[in-house]
Amino acid sequence: MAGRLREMRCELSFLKNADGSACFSQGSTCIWASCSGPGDVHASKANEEAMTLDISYRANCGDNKFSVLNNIIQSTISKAINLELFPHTTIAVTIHGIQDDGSIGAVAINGACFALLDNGMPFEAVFCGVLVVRVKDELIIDPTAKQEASSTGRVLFAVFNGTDGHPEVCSMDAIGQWDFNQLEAAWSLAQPSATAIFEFYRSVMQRKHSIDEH
Amino acid sequence: MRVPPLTICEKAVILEALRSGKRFDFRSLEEFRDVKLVVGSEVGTAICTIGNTKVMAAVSAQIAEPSSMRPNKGVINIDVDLSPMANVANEHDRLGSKGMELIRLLELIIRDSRCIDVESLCIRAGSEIWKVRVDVRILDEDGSLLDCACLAAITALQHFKRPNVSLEAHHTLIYSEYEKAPVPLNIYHMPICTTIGLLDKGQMVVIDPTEKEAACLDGSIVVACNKRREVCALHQSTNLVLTTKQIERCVKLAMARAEALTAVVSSIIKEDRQERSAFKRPDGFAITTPSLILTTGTAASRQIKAPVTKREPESSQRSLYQPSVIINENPLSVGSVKQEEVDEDELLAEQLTTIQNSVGQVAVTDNQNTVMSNRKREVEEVNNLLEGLDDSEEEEEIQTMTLGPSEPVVNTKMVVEEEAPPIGLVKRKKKK
Amino acid sequence: MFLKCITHLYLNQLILHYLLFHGNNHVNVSDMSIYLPGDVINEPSSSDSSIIGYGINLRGDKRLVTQPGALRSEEGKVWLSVHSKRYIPQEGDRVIGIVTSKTGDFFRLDIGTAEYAMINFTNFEGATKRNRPNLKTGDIIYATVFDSTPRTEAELTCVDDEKRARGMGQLNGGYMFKVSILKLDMDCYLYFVQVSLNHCRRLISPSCKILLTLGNFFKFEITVGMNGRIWINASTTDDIIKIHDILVKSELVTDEDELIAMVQNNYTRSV
Repeated sequence: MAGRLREMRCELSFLKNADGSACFSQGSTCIWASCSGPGDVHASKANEEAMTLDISYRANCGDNKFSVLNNIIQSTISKAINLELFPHTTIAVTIHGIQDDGSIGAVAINGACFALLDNGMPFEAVFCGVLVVRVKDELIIDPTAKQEASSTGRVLFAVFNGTDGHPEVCSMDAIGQWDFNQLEAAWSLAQPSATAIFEFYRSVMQRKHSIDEH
Repeated sequence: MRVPPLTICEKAVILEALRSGKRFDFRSLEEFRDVKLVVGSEVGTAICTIGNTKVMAAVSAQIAEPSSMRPNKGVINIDVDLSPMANVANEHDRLGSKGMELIRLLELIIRDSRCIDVESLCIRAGSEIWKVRVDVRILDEDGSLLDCACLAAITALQHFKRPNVSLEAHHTLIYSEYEKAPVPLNIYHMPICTTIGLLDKGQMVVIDPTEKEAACLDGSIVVACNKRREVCALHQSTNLVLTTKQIERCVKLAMARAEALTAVVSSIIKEDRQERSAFKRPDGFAITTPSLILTTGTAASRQIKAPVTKREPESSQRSLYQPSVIINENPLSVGSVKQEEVDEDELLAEQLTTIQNSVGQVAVTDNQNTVMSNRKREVEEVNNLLEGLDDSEEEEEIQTMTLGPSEPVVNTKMVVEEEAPPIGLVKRKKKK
Repeated sequence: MFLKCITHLYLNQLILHYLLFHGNNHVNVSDMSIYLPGDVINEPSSSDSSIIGYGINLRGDKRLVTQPGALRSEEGKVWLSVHSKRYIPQEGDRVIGIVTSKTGDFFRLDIGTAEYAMINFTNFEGATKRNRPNLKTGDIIYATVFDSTPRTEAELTCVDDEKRARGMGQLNGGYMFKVSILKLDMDCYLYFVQVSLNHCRRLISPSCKILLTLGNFFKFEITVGMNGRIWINASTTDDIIKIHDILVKSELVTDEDELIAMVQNNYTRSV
């Protein structure tokens, strides 16, 4: 099976007020993500044992009280960070959708991970998102808006980089009808994409840290 | 999260510098920061940057019913989103007084100044109008928030195109962008906002203050005007008393700025129109920063190859109907199932199986026709008990038993009772 | 590999600082290996180190990375240099705190962490019950963190074990600003410089020439807090503005010539 991952571009640390920020795009889909923390939290929301997560994905149009993506991003980040290391603190992750040309969920998850990396706080493993859609029995990774609109099924994988270097699934969000065979095929397509995205993380961070080389 | 407080030394140095005409970013007191405007590839989106302040605006339109007081005027709604990205003190989905002030001022500048022709937004008087929604997202705060937001909103409104409609006898036809070209909004003028900081009771003006400077100043005044030299709004959020001369001076500065910025906005919109008329979909906000910056990275698009997974032939047989079977008691729900309840459920399940085994002659279909009400069943039960006292060997008519685990199994047949006495005993205990 | 950089200032770009690369086309910095959270460190050079430092956790036998950074090892210590902006309190760090309130025997300070920090009024040089330090809200002090259990307020002190100040205490006049934190060096050098977390540690490391170059042109006093705050004091406000500008922009400059050129430009530039 073959697929195509669109061109990825990323820029870090460009916001003045946020601790970690990333502007990430895949093709024409672009998001801005910011991560601030660990910081103080109001007593009403404080958790004595662990860190509170304040995560929100905000689309560029419309009311933003709730977004479908909040769930998968929250579950991924709560697994990525060891929340019990920072009791009575909070971390605020905000992802603004700037331009949507398909695969916005995956781009949002990748942007969130970049923002966390830019923030520099301790967490367990890097993660990324891959969207696989099914258009007439053919599986497409990282679809454009046109491909996504004509798809009969979509599955968004949130993938972790396991300790042995192999990608592991953390959570999935599937829309449409999928049977296990198709899901397996989608996952086998998603794995090398995830590996490619993790390589990109490494190259960007390498470049950012090259300032230390004297 | 809290923001570190302003220290005495910072305030002292900033004020001293301002009083001698110097600023930390090497501007003069009457110099504005550079403005950068980008429009997106979706119509009606724009990002505006003034120094470190970054604001994005997006415009969308919907058909709605007009209010009864203004049946032939369209509606413009403005919404501002302050997120922790802009300032860590903000909270998600919460506006606060700063946000409310921003919304009110933007409404004043954009809606109340009547810069958009709302009557052209009417489709059918009294029943259908266009409701235009402007979403302003504050992405980074560093002073002059209103200026940036206003500019982004105005650019987005200029950039926006609503779908073309045609009125039929009984319905309205909305065309997609491929059938008929969308129509831009009818905008009369462009109000541009300027924030001017004031020091020493208004005697000194500091144009376009950054956030740190604004925290040290006495107050600030906001002037919105357009290039036709009309003042659209005048606002002060602090309580300074200003003389007419001071206000006139600020307005003059704002007028010059409005002219310059109007030219910038017009040129950007014109460039974008040219690109689109050549049927090129512009890049919009896709990152075009040079690869020379250290904190950026690019990865070219690449082919992904994956091993083919084994596809077993799909089994075409449909599984037969299966009644619901409890596989696992849920062990994970902490405290939700009390220990006594679990035992009761288990007990009921046990009872069910024993009854099912022992009462073999009760056909499943019988249950459907002869379901009796609880009251009737009780009466029957009492009668049977009384009769049973007299002669326990008599055959009784078969009473139906409802085999649902939620209700206690009604055990009225004496024979059954004798056959399975422990159940009956348990039953009685339960009924208590 | 040798990196040659030039700084240019383009005020109308979306990002304020960037560098132009000359010569080498690829960016790989070969001597430095970058690690992301979740990686396991297997390098032989680090295996003989006995002290596991910042950003690395020992899980069983494996050295697991928890923060993104470049691996550094020196004399039996191994750690990662991490770039970040938010400070997490560590005992022994010298930080700059802003006084927010005074409650009973304590001053409550803000050091940029989630919880406030406290300092007892007796922890100042020459302080007695009668002679309390005269600090108001908004003053800044330079102090050492000596107790930082999580979930409690960190406790600071302005004196060392022998009740001597050694440069700590209130900072008068001058100007303070914040930069990012780079955990570059394990040893904290005990002179006063404030810089962003990254930038902070880099400025006070001995291999950094920024302060020396600055000293050739300006006469100034500088204090660095490990929480990313820098305090500078110079003879005129003009100088303060110029030094502030250089320190902020020098975060991304590594080459000495360029640094000198930048300082020179700034020095002769009229504010």
